Amino acid sequence: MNSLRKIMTFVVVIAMMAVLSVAVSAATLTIGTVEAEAGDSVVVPVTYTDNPGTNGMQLIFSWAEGPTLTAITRGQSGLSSLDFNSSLVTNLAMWETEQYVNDTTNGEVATLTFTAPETAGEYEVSATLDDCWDMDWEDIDVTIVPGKIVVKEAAPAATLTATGQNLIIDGGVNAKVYFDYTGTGEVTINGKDALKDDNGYYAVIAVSPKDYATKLTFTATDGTLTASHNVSVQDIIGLYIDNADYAAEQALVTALDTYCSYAATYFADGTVPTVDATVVAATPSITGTQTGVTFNSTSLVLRDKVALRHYFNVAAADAATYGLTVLDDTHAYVEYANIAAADLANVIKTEIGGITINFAPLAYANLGIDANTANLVKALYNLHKEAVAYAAN
Amino acid sequence: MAKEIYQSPEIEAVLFDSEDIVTVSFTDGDSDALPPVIWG
Repeated sequence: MNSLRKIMTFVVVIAMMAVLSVAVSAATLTIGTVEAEAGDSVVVPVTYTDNPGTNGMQLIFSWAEGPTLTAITRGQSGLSSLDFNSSLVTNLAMWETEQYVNDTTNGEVATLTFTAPETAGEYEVSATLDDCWDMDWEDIDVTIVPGKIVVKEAAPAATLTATGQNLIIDGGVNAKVYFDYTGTGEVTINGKDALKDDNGYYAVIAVSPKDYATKLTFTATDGTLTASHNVSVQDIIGLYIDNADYAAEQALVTALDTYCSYAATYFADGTVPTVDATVVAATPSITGTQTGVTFNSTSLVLRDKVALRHYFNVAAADAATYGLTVLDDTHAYVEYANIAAADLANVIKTEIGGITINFAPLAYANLGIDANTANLVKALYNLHKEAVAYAAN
Repeated sequence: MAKEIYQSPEIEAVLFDSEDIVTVSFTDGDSDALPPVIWG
């Protein structure tokens, strides 16, 4: 019985020693993990937790080759009652006091400021415990959890470049220019918010057919980067003509090219080469009367799309009554703008009071106009036919 | 010097919102007009 008591006493003592040993080995020092861009200044926090009561601690920091340590500073919360010292020569940090106290505060005890390296990658930051003790000069075991600096791949510099150009074949004369932009800002082109589709940012400039050879400037910017592209509608037409990739568009683009080039010579010197075509359009009609208003004449305006105009003899004071635009004291007109090439044979009905006019824009060709004007309208008619055929395919 | 060729994404044959098209006029508005014709 006496020997059994001795054995039990021994077991209890061993168990108590084991418990006491766990109680003094509780602290943890965690070094943070942070992300950085190459070359950035980055702050790595050092946190002390599970503090059993600390009278002093001394650490030596270490890290993988790459980052440069520029500062070791006191943290915001942990070991707050102890004095702090550090050295960039020995990479050492020390907390201590001459008082017989145990500091029990947890939290950030230091921050390490590094300059991140230029090369992307992960760089471990760790520490070696030189010493850690309580007010009775008993050692405190500290588990050190390393951290790291993660240097991200540098984002490529934003670029803004002109990448493409084409035509919108909607019956008008226009140039569409694309820009590729890799940044995150807002892109404007010629001062307006850029539009965007699957091919990139773009803007469209429409011109009169006679101006199709004039260079157009497209300038895109995000406020910092700028890219410009100069191109004429004629230049873009040239990319498609005889280009096998655009076989389906050949007839239409060629007709557009002819129409524009003839408009250019017509408005420059009044001449147009002979065009072999018979313009088919509904015969226009005008019926009815209206007091104070008489029909005068009809014209086409060859802008990027065609406009149809009917002129009337009417006092300027009465023009507004019929929604007419005043030309002078005794003349005014009604205009139907933006008529696509495919729609030029459609009859447009006009009612001015009791006067009714039915007129398809292409009927202008059959009003007994001079040969040059007739040839130009025939070229427009050929464009119309190709636009209709293209839309049908 | 080689001629610079830009990509031509596609010819478009779609209806297009005319508000998105900036029309540039190099002359006054009526310079594109054909002669008015008296008829009827």
